[in-house]
Amino acid sequence: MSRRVAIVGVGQTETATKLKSYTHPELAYKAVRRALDDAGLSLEDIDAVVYGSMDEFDGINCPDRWDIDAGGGWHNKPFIKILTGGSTGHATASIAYQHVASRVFDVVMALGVQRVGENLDAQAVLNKAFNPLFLGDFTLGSIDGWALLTTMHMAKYGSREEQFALASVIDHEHALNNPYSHIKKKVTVEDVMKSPPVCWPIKYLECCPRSDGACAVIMVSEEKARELNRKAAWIRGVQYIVCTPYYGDRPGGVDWLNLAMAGKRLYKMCGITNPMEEIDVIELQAPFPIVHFLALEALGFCEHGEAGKLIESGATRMGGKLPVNPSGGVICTNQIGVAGLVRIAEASLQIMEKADKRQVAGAKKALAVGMGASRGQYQSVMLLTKDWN
Amino acid sequence: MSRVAIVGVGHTVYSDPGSLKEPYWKLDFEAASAALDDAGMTKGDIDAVITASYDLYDGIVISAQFSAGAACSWWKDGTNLAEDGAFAIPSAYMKIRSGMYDTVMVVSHGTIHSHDVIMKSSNIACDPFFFRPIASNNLVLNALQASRYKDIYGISEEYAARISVMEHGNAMKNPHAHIKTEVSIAEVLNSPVLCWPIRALEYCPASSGASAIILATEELASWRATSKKIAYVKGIGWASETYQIGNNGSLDKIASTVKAANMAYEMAGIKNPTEEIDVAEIAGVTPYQELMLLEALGFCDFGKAISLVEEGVTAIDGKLPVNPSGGLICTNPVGGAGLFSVAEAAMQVMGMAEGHQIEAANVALAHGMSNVCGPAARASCVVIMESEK
Amino acid sequence: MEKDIIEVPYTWEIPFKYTAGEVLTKFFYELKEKRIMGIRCPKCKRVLLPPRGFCEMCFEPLEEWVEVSDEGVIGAFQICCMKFLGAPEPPWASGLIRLDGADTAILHFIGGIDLSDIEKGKEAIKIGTRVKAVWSDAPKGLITDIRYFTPV
Repeated sequence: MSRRVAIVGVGQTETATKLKSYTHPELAYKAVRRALDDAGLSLEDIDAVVYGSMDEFDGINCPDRWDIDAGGGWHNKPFIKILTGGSTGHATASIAYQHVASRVFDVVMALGVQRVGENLDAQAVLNKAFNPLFLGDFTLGSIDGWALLTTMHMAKYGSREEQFALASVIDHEHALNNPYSHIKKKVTVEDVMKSPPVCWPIKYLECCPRSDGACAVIMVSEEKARELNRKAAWIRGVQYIVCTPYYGDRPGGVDWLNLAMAGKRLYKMCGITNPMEEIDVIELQAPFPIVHFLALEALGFCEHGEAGKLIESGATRMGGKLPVNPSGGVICTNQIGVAGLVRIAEASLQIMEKADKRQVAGAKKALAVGMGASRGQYQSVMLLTKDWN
Repeated sequence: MSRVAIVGVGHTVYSDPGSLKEPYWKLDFEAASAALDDAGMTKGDIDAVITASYDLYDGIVISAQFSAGAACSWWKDGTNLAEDGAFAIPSAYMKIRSGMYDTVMVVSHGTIHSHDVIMKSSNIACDPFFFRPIASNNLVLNALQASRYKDIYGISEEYAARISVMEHGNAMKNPHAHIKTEVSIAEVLNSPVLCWPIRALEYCPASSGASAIILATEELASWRATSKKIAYVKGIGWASETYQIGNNGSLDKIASTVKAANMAYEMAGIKNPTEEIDVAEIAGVTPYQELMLLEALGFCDFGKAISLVEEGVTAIDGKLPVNPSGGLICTNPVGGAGLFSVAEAAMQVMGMAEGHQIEAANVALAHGMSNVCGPAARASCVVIMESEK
Repeated sequence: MEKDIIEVPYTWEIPFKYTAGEVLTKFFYELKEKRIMGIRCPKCKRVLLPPRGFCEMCFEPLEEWVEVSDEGVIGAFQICCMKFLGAPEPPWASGLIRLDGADTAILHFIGGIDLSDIEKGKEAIKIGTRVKAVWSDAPKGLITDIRYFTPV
């Protein structure tokens, strides 16, 4: 039986295309300082640190090295670095969770730092993620891959461009409530539809920005949580699943059987039988609207092909039955290797009732969904709860 | 409390990357298959996977995506650390101890094909303002540390050469070692200076190859027990160091190894490492580093490593043989080196170290380092294992 | 296999611009005027060089600037005799230099010495040798505005 683990502190930095006031380690420091303050702890109280970043965007091989003093390098703290593409943030949190659940440590910090603004062409970096023998020459970045999945979903289920546009509109609407959001701009379905196609059918106003930002999350053991006696979000369950990098081979195509499998395992672990009724809010790592569709369907919030209708029903809006991305999500802020950790941070804030203007009233169960590498080779889910049972 | 066991170990051949023209995922696959064979398992028996690799060394963004399948992680929890391979062991240990998984596969490789790539990657691991413009890389920064250590403790070049001669001699007996050449003290001292005080025959090669280790719960290990011996993980420890190598005094000791060793010794209940440990595999890429490590690991007092070597304690027939494998000076898969050391140490206690087996090796210590900027922000990992009693 | 194994050559070319942030920007503007500024921690009182936004020991933000000397002492050094991609033609030397008035050392080139004979080089550069900055004639606000440090 795993030891129970709770999140007791969250620290985020502001986000922007380029946060020019700070160097890489200074940005990390800012997030760490805020998380420590939020938890009422000092750096000395942290037993170990798990760090995540995607090196290439920042133009530094292993930026964790330069940043290490923001994670207790001076104090010789146990420190490891995770890199699994876009899912790095979620993986970082999941490994940090295991640091505590295994009883090896009592207080652990997950830290993510990303400076996508330092490089002048993010898609050139993303191209280097493809198998150089087969795919590298077709100038594949990220957007074209998601466009392929969008057209597949449209063909299989008849989902419409306006439905994808609406998912982006809702994220933009929510981002206005989040002080840490990068893009703060109200847009309408008409605005989205009129914005230029980047890789058809994905339009400009459906694309995530590239953001600089850092986030730190502090996890503690059940005993420590009681001792601290602060607002806490229990990590009720976590699942992480890997599939093939060749998304043409991926079982289920747009039905995302790998995320569905992770979801089933999580629900079993947490005793969830009807996710739509039991889960109060979702933070979803969706850099493009198609991910809303694939994830909501795979995780059982609606039937396959029905996500468009679910979104049109207003259920995923603030005030709806299942608000998705009260933070504004990744379409409005994408610190890539940190974005998965921010989902967990935001879901925790909902449970801790610290989400201010973006608070979902009475949220007791929040689901954080992360994914990355080759359009979802890695998928992950974490359920955060107010009460253990 | 249930122990965590090492039930399978696999090595590929280690060789010159120039002659071994296979992609890294093929090496991962070979090592993972060898570990499965050794454990008498099939891929379905593995619950979770941890790989350790660096994108820049592999030349692919999220290079782990292609290792994942080779390490049998489809439909499973799979994570990648951008750290030296040794660090995957504590992460695997925590995965099992968290109660989430019964078996974890760990795989790490090195395939980097030239010192130019290593040094350039290392240069861009340094901060862009102070270290990078001064042509820093891990060799240059290791040489800085070596010169200081040499000066403070009056280490002669002959003593350093002696370590290299010993390592080369040991490697001759190891079927998995990369460099197999007998060298004399005179040859080492006459070899060209790379970065003074480090000479060509005192510096690690770049090797191509992979290692894999399977860890499992004690229950599963004993249930599966074949005629083969099992290595139980007795202690783990890991720690980091400041990036600011200009801080006073931070260069004379490898502080992260001191801290990592203390954590591991405490967990293992080891009071007197020299008496209680039967064999050690440690990650010195130069003789100076190796001497510093003997001190940091508590095998002798600071500044006394030379006497330890002179008394023959660390020789292959000594009281505490160090690097019977030939160490990193003869086999250095960059990024995977620490897992090579863990595998070698595990093979010693499992009685599988063909040709270089230490008699009655019941307790072994393995040590790895993330050394990408040399002493700047270095991290160390120590694993102590004992054979089935 | 009888045929040669195929290898695809590739060079990563991705342009970057690294943000110096407010603290280092101040440092580099001063460096352009040939002034070397350290930053003092309010808690441990150490004058840190290179400057940084927070003290790694006390975890406090830093803002108090202190000018330090352009002369100091070598704490560690190496002499590089191997050609690396993108690095200077060997032989060249670098070291950790603690400048007078600073509590930590800065990494820089050590120059103005004939290194072609390594034995002579080792005589000229020692741990404890006093060195002084040799400045560029056309400073750009980069650490290389100091060309190297040379024995006094």
